[in-house]
Amino acid sequence: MQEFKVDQAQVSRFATLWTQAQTSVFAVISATVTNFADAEDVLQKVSSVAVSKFDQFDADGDSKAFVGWTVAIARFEILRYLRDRGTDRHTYIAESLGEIAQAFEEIAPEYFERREALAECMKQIKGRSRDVLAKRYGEGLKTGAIANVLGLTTGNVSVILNRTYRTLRECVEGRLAAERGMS
Amino acid sequence: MKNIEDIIVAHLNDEASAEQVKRLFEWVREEPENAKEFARCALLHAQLRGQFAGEKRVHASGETLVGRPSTSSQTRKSRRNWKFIAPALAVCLLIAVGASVWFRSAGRGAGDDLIVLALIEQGIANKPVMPFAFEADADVIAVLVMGQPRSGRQQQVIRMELVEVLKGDQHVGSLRSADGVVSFGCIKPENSGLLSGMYREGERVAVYLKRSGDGWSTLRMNHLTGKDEPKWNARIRPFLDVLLASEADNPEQRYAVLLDRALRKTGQKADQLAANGAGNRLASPATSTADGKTKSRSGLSDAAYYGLLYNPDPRAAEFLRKMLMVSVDFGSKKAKGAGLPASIGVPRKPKGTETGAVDSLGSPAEKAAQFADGNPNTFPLIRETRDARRQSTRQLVTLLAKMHDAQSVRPVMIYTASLSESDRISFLQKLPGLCRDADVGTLRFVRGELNQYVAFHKSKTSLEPSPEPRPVRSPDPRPADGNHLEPGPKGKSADQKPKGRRPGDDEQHDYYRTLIKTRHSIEKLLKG
Repeated sequence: MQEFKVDQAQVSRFATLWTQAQTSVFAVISATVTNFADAEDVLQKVSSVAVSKFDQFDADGDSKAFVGWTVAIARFEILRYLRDRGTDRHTYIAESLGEIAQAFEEIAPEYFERREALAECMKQIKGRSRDVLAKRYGEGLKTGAIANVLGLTTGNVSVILNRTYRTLRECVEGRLAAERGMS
Repeated sequence: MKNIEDIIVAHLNDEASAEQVKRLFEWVREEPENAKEFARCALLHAQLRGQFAGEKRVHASGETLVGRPSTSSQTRKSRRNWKFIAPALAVCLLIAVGASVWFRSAGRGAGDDLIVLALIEQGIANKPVMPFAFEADADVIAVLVMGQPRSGRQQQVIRMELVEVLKGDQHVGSLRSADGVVSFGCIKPENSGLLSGMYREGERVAVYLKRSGDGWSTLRMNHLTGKDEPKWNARIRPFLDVLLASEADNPEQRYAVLLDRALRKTGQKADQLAANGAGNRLASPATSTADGKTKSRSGLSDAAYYGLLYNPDPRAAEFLRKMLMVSVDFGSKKAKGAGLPASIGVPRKPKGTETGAVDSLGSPAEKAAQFADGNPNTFPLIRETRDARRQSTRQLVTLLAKMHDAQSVRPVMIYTASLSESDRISFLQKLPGLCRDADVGTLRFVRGELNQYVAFHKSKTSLEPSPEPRPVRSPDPRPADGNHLEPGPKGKSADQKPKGRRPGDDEQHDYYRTLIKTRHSIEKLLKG
């Protein structure tokens, strides 16, 4: 087995950087690879590549640079995934990947505050709406399957998903606006 | 924007049409602000995924914590925090990937060599597509215990000492440092800024590592706490026993210990079985209570079935064949009892009824005694349902087909004869695999049996005129071989379900297609 000698500090550094960057990377991936299982596979691939090429990352690079670097790796992996699928819809996504990656890089500083806001907003979601979200995001079920499980129509599930999503979106934006206003 | 937002949600839920996707990404490219709007929506979607997947695991681990004995030093607060450890650990990712991953620095003490695992956000982890998929796929499965945190240059790392290697000891050997120590580490959560308060010394975790061309990565980490560890052991260890039996010094003996029902025939106590290494019930006859009610059905446990499915070692075939013979014994009696040729369909009892084996082979007590005497042709088929028996036999045949066990061909043909046509299909599909290494005589026997099935089916269907003509087939581009009903390539017309077709027509059609296809495969083997 080939053995690379890497300084222990490098290990810690990578761990810290990856811990901070992986949310951004997963967000980029899940925006373009809409099947959760596939998105998670792509994320795992990105992490493997990032580790194996970590010696190529700028030694003075900060976490922002690392996010950009890993998102660049993710772009290649996403393109590879899309190319393998080869459908029209994947072509449209592939053509926009540059803009999407750029946009994610720009909103990266908002990640943590958005997550905290979302956690608070989730407390407002109860009952059927929460059940539907749990099935969709917790179990990865699609609309039809959720409808079957919960005894609803597919249309009902779509409406609930859209409505809840919009409620959460507005709540998160409202909280962020309020916090910015206070600061 | 509202309309676009609906499309974004549909896209993120993998439910947008191609036209909508096109429109969405044209909109994304129009303005950088649009791209940012899309990114914010996608981020919310990703964070919801993380939140719910993590929450699900919290519930799962929380259940196991109920009733967990508290220690004197354990405060209410710490127990509450503890609920988050399992989900956090479950999504640990090995950042030390590959051979490229040995973060060992020359000149340091051996104790400084750590393979560091990083905690990643909850909810981002793969799920197995089949039972035991992670266990089968992992190259290394090891149990670690969390130790003292130690300070590095920039981080505090929780040391995780290797306790036991369940799989891949040969790989772990190469992970050892100069003094033979293998140590893993997790960045201390407080330092990561993500998962604070989620660490306690002395707890155990199971780590699954996978080796690939790029190096190593983690497939999974299971937190073993309270009731989790016994459950995990009971499920995973028997599976690994079977999966890895082919690597034992004497695989045949190992399979005998794990699978041979003869080991259980003399009423050995659990401790005796354990002494033989057969404490786990991996393959066994049905057991019954004194009044003849079934306690458990016969067949392979999930651990044994999936262990052999992932690693179909022909050296295990002998023991599966022994179990198969029991079904065959029953099946042949049914066929003869019905006064029909062995290969022609036998009337079925309604679903869920008893097999009738008790009637034909003696009382439960007599059968148990025969079994205890080691009579290889008897088996206590006590109140086992036909469906359960068929399911366990199908599992056996699936495994034997993967092992290309030619000796099982004739028994399978005899058993198949006792089934209804619809139940027979799955067994017929296994025949090409079973027959791959069979001799010419066996292949001719199978072809002869299949010809009988075909002839019987034709005669039966010709006596039952269908109210509607059969669907018109697409022309078969393959050269004619004298069999004008040879199924052609799957075409639209062949799959059509014309109005007015009777219930069961599709089933019969599937059966017939399977018959012809299987016969074709057997003929190819005969020619080849």
